[in-house]
Amino acid sequence: MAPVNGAVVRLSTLAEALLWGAVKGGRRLAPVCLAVGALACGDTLVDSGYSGTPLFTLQGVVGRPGDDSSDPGALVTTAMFWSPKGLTARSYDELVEQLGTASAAPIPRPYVMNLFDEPGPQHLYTTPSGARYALGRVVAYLDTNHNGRRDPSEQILGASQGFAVLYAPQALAAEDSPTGRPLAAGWQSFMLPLQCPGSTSGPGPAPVADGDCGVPLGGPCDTDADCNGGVCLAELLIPLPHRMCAISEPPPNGCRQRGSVLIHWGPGRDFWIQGCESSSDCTRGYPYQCDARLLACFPSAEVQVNLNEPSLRPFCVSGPPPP
Amino acid sequence: MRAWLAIALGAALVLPLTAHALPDETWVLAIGHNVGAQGEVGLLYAEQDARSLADALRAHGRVSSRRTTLVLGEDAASVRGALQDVNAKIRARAGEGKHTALIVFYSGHADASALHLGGTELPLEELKALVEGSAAGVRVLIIDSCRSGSVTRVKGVQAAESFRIDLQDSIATEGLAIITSSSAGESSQESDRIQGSFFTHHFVNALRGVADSDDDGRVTLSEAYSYSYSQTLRSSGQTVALQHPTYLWDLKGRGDLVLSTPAAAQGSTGRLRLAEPAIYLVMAEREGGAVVAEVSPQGTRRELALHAGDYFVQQRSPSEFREYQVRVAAGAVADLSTLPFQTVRYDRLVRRRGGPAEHVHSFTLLAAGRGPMLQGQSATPQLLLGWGMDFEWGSFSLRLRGMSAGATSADGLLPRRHSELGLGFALQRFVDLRHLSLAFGLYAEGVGHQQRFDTQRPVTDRRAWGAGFGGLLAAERHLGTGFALRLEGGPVAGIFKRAVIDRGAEAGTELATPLTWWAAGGLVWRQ
Repeated sequence: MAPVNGAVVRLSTLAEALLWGAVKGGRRLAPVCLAVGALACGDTLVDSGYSGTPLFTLQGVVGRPGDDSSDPGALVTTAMFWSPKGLTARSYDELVEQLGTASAAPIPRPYVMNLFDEPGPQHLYTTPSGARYALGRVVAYLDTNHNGRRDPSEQILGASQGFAVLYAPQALAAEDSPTGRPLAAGWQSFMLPLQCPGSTSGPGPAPVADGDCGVPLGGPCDTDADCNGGVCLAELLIPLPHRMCAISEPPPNGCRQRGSVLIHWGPGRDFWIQGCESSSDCTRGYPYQCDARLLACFPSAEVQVNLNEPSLRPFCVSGPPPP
Repeated sequence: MRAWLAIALGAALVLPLTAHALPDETWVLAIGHNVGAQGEVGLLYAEQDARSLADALRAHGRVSSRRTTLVLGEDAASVRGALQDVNAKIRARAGEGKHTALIVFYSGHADASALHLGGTELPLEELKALVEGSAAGVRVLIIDSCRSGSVTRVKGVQAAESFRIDLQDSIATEGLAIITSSSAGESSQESDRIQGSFFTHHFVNALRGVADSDDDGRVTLSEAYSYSYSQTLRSSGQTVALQHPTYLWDLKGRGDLVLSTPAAAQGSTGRLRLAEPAIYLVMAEREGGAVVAEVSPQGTRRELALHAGDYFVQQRSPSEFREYQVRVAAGAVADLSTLPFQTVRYDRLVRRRGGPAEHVHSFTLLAAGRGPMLQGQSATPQLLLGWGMDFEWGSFSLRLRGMSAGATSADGLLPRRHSELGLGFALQRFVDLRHLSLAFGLYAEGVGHQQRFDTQRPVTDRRAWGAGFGGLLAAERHLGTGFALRLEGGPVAGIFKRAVIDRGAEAGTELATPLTWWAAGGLVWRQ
């Protein structure tokens, strides 16, 4: 294999390599290209595997965490399902599959789901004010007839219970946004659950305005010593790849870092992590992103599909704000 | 020249002329010499020409062999003496009140002023004076002379003065007629294929009957000349230089002179009745035998007098050859139109180097199918237009191929139309069997690809250049009138840039060289 202009080129024979030499010169070598008869110029041709340019790409893992007994040969289909009822969907029957998103493979496995189409009208939820968005999950099922879509008789195995995908054709105001915060138009993925509308709760955690505590919030670490007075977390709501520096609440030295976000993980398990407005604010790449619900840099770009929990968790919960 | 000839022939047809046969007292002096002056290339067939003409006049002109003199390979003195001797005999018979005629034929080297006879010279003026001064009532001098030669043994006469073309209102039965095989400044040629000179070959065939344009079973001097003129011009047109025979008519009286009566078959001769107008090649015994005659029969009778025997006849029509195996019996007529024949196409003739043409053009229209070149593509319909040329060494063709086929992505949501336009060439070698021609070869082409998508998805149409090559196996069956049914197929490979697809998206580029099959059928027309 040889990298050419960022693309990976597979050269299977010497003849192909020679011909490719004429090709990669592009326009400057066009006469040569014609002369040698290779003529392999211009755009690349695509076959039936080509679906287009992805509008959004989801990555994650589908499997049964903690269960090594899964049949490695079992083909499990994952696809994108949207909730036309917005946050109120409570069962799989209320979700609508987006055609063209299904792919089948053995489990456990990492997966990459390219979305080539925007959600259609049948997938969109319309808010009382008329704003529209699509809220969905990755659902795993057995496509027993291999028709590339879920039929009513086909068994659902699980879903991305803790993660959601949101598509907003236009920017959403806070009162229309399922996260309770303004959202830009386009695609988002974030942690669940959300807080249901009408819940009597206070505002969620907001970035603090204290000074610079010197803790590399959001950075990778091995031990607390790497966090310069902070703590090195291996897990916070979900496992944190390569760990992450945070500041416990209350801070040992009383310093709450400017721009950080407080995450409630249970009594005595509250931590300040790196806040953000977009993923470009985050110091770490995939699977870390700016989680649209937390407004914090969090590894929620990797959407876990858990097959141990076949029933559908709600998108939102009432009561106090979720962590 | 030709205008005068046309006038002459027209006059001959319009005027109520009387044709007179050669008198019983007709003397023939046929002179041939293969060797000319020093430095002139030796000829092969000059003496044979003299024999042939004498034989034709004997067989079909009823000229007695006792009054036929062959002077072959002799010097000027011998020729002069022979002519003087014949003149003396004629003078004696004329004195007895007999109608007499003298025909003098010469084949050999010459220049503008003299015949070249093995290092000696006989001045043309002397020859002309000897013939002109003969006591014979009709004197015909035919000169098929050569001047200098090269490897091809080009013959020629370069007249010091042009022969006067003076066609009187009648063809006389008394007087002098001179015919030469070429005009001033031109060369006369002999051919290995017909084993003689063009002019003599055609003149002899004229006497055998093919010049009988008025279908009266007799060949007159004007018919023989007219035929020899046109056929010599045609034959020489296929060589290095044109050759225009000339004549001088200085005869008196009305009527034409009949040189032969081939319709009245005599002795061991029979007649071959040829079919529709065409050029016929008659070979002795079988295909590849000695060429007896290359003729283009005139009139509607179209008969050629031949010695009894077996002949291979090739009828060369514009689109094909017809080949006959004929047996001519003494005193009988063999009619080609009633005989079986084998049709041989020009492309086959070219391929076996047996025809008059060096190549044949072909036009091809094929409907085809090709196996998939891309994943998810099914067999695709194709249309192919071709133009080619068949040579003895092989066949070359240019091929324009078009294809357009629809397909969808694996998820069924991205319909696309893939079109190809290919321009390439093929080299093939044919093997001609009795009823079928098989071919094998190679082809290569440059291909323009276009992929159009009918979707709301953000994808752009694609245009690419590629190449294709493969092997060809073909079979052709002749259908008639130049058409043949063609079936072909073989493995083909393509070369083009292909996207590496990962989960539906383009993840890279690779050079694809898929191998698949090709099958086609259609028509070929050859000209």
